[in-house]
Amino acid sequence: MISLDFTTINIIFAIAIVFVFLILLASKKQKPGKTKEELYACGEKINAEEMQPQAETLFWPILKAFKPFYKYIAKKHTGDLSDYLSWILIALVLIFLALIGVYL
Amino acid sequence: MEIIAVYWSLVLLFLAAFILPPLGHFFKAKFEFRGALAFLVILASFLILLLDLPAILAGKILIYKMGAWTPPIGIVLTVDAFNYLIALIITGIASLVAMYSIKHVEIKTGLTKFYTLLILLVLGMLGVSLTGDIFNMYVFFEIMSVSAYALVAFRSKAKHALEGGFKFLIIGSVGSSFMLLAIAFLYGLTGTLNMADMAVKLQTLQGSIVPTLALALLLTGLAVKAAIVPMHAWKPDALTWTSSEVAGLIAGVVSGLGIYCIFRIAYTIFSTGFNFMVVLVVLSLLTMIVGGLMALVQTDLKRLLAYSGISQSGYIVLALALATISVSGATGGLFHILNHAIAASLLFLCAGAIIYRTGTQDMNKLGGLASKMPLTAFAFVIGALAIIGVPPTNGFVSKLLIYFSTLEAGHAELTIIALIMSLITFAYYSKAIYKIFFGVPVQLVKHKRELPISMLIPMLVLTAFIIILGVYPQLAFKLIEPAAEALTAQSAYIGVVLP
Repeated sequence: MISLDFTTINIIFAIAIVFVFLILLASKKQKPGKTKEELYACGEKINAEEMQPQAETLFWPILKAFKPFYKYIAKKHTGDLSDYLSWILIALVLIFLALIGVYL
Repeated sequence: MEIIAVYWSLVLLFLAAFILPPLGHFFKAKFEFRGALAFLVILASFLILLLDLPAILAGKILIYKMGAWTPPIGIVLTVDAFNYLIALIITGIASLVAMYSIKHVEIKTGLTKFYTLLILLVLGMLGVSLTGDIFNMYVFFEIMSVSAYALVAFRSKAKHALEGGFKFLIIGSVGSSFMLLAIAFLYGLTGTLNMADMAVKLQTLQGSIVPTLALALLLTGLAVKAAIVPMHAWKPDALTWTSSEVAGLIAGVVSGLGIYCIFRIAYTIFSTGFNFMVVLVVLSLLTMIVGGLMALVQTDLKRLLAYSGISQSGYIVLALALATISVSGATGGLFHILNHAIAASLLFLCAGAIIYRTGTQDMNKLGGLASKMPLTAFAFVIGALAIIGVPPTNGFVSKLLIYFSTLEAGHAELTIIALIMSLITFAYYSKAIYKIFFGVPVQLVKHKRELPISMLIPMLVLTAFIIILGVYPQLAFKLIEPAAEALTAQSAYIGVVLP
């Protein structure tokens, strides 16, 4: 078994956390005024909801990198019970074949 | 005859499941009484279990013979460090979930049934983990499963919860049927249901294909319970709309129990070899990848957590599949079962807290909640860090051990895949944290406040465990290392049950 010194790792991480807190404490001194927190675009005030990026578009480069997965496998999650049961049956057959040493 | 404490733990839960309905009838108007009683009973069963801890740490395997019938004829409870660890996880997490539910549970009618089902669910899980008899294991599995099906759909306002419960019922029943068929094959072949005796008799049956068929059926049936891809489809549908405490228990504990059964049966009854390891490694990679990538595109918080749980099951299965060739695999896999149970339950409880205060689980409708519910935000972030595997959380230690296990096994490609999937885990959890807790508070979260104390305590206890086990993992290793040794110690298990 590879030996791991978790104490050292935790000490290094604790020091890093202390540094982050110090930076955060320092940054608190420059608090923006209330008007600076108001959201506006082209001179018009807008709701906070409209300013939030949609959850499905965050990390779009990863989604793009795994496009084949989302195009073929994710779409197979149809919600149809018959589909899900057929997956289980196919898995059973493949597992049995693999256990007896037959690889497809 | 020595009576071990785990026996009383089971008896207490069994009695409570019978006593709660008449007691609930007398205290109909006191909504919180039944929840408090369920919490105390499950907590008591956890504390009773702790009485056996010194014996387990001393390396003993405890046996309780039901009705003083000697195995292989009688049913036995066989407790080694491996299943003792699982039993502690079950009762420990369930007691916190029960405490959380006292205030959280929305329904005001049928509470007696709800808590009776909750106790039966815990009883079923505990029975599955402790029994040394394979048919008895199946019976306890059914007690657990039927309670879980009912709890998933229990008095929910959302019609999707009924649909999720129905899918869980049908898919779960198919899994149970496979298990029963496999047990019938094995009984026909060996004439025994005792796991140790079955292992001895199977060693003499060389050349028969029936044990392999039984192993395939058992593996598929149990993979349904453990939500391993491609048998995972019930989990997101069942957990998205059910109450958060039930979802936390199913995601955190039931899946871990399914994985426990796969390895208990494989390493104790069957002398599994290379093919079995290959099958499990392939299934674990599929589970890790499909669960992670599906979680990334979710906008519903609980659906994201359900897929995240599937992905983490992949890590556990990968590590335990390598247990025969890597010590880190057994230790890391078992530690990750514990860590995932704590973190997944915590995250579902946090999701419940968010829904309790805002009424929505759609991440696109949330934002800026950290300023209104700072403790919930803190607990969620810690739980997410544990799942991602960031120090100083417990998830960091177990994931590091899992990465090392793949290196020890000489497969760096598995390490790379596991690391990439951890980055994907970071992506979807940072998305959830950002969308729910940061940014400018949206209209929906304005004038919201922190949770009642009885809901906060279980969440903070789980958070504390994540940090304590991350900073001082040696505390958990005292039990996990003997459990890892017990995992593959087939001859020691047989030697104690059949002296």
